[in-house]
Amino acid sequence: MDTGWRELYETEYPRLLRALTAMGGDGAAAEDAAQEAFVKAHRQGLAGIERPGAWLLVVATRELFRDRRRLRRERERWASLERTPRPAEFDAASDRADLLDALRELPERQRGMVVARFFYGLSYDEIAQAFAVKSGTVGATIHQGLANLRRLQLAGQLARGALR
Amino acid sequence: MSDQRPDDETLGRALGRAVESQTVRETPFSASRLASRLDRPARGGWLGALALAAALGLFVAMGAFFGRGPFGVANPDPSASPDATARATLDASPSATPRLSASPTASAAIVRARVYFARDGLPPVGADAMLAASADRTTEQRIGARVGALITGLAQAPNGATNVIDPRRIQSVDSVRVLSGDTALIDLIVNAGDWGVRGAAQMQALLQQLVYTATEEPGIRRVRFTENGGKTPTIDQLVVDKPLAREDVFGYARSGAADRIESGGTVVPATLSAKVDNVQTGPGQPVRLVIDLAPRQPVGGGSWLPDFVASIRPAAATSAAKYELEVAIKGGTDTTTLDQAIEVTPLRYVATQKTGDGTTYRLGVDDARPWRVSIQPGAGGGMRLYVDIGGDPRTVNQNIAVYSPIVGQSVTGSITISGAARVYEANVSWRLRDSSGRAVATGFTTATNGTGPVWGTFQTSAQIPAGLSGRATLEVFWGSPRDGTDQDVVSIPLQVR
Repeated sequence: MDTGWRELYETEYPRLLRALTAMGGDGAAAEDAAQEAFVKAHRQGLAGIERPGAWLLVVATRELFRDRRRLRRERERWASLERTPRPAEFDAASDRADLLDALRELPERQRGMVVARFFYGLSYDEIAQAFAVKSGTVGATIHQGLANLRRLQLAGQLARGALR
Repeated sequence: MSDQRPDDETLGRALGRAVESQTVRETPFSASRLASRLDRPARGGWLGALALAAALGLFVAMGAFFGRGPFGVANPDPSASPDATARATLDASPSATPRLSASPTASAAIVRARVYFARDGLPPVGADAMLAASADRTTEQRIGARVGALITGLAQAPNGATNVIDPRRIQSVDSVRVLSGDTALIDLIVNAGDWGVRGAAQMQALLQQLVYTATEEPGIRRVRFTENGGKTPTIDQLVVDKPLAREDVFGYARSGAADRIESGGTVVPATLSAKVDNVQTGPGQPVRLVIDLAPRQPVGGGSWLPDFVASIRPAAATSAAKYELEVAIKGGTDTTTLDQAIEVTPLRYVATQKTGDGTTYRLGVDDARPWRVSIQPGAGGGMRLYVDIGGDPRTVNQNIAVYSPIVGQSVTGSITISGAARVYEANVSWRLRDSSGRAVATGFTTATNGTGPVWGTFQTSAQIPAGLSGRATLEVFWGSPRDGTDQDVVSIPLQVR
């Protein structure tokens, strides 16, 4: 077996799976999209991929969001989870969960770019290249994404506060 | 890093940490789709296949079973099942626990998991996925691993069969519980409650695959499916709220199936030899055990009917087979002793057993599909028994079973018509109709046995009239002695070229 592919998998897969799980909320769907992305990379050939990490993220994200109905189902799940309130205490774990929940409320494009920026640590230029958009668009999208995150997270905290 | 305002940066970093700190279930490289793809061209030998399968099985199948995201729907804890005592007994003695498959080729680390694929109009056919032995623990885990292997496509569909399961719709096994005795309850994660099938044929195919695979577990005969945390599923507008057995979905009319036939023949000291035949032939053919009887001294009167009893009954709860079909031949002695695992749907094994007054053949079968025993005189005063199991549900009824031609076959010049029958005066009639339903040719042939519990075989050739082309229908039937009306008509659509 090609050691190059193993290396790529072992470097990229763990963070890719986390990124996809964060964006989609569904472990099985994230796993599916991640596996599919590596298969697509193999089909493409490593030589044809300039930045494999970013490439895999973009391809897998597209795969994850491809099925609109899957997305709807996630929303339904998310809605059902909302009805079960989290522990009222303010702690780091519930704060993180709030953030991830909020992330999944963002439009797809914002989710992808926010994760690329803050989890993958890609620069605006790298993101622009990977998502095939203008650099300015990246800045605007991420800015909107963060503003939405803040609003949604605040809403979550307020909701918890009201339960206290 | 100066791209954002400072508080944006703080929020972003918090998000990054939140993403990082999620609990995820990682698939190691060896079990990844990429690895299996890289492995494909290099895989030649059995060992390679085994190694790949080991890797695949261990993680992917169990992944499908346990691979729920952190926000997956709540699943009932299997250990909270009311049947916990029964299962605890099973679990307590690992050596006595039924394996995924009692295959002699399985090493300690690998087990084969049989899953089922659908065929157009025909009962499903089994194929094996390789799983690591760690998938082989409790009854629930084994059932979950098999259904998971089916959903994730771990096994390759045999020729002529397909997998109708769309993994984007039916995504994973959420939980498995053994309810009481022989019934399992399986909850599946089904995308938006849409099982991905349209129409009766597809639905039957889907249910066949799921029911057969889930009930592959020894001792489990029925299965009830729920979706997304215990909801009753509606599959293509049909509410499926009852436990299903294999016989509920296999497509045969069950009314005509007998449990037992007694030949009422003559006990003749004979040397027996048996072999399994017809297991690799085309779709819809029955699996057949051929038993040759060579009398030790000449039998007067030409044709004779051996004394035998054939019966089917549920197999032991520990057996890989669901039923056992037994053919006990009085006076016969088998010198070869056929004993083998077969593993070609629906046959699991054949065993030969000497008894006080003869020989008994035991056939382990997957379900109680219709079966028949025919006699046919052989060379030198010998007699041949055909034990036929199944056949195409569309060409088999309680008195006529047509094995050739098959449904939809393309024919030119002439048609070979063959099968088994137990009809008045052994007289089997046929008729060919053109696309408008007009009879364009008729004929008859004689089977090797007439009315009675034991069937006879028949074979004849029908000339196709010149000028007939396109769609045609062959009818095989027998005529009532009372009023001459057609009885037990088998209709087979054909393409005449």
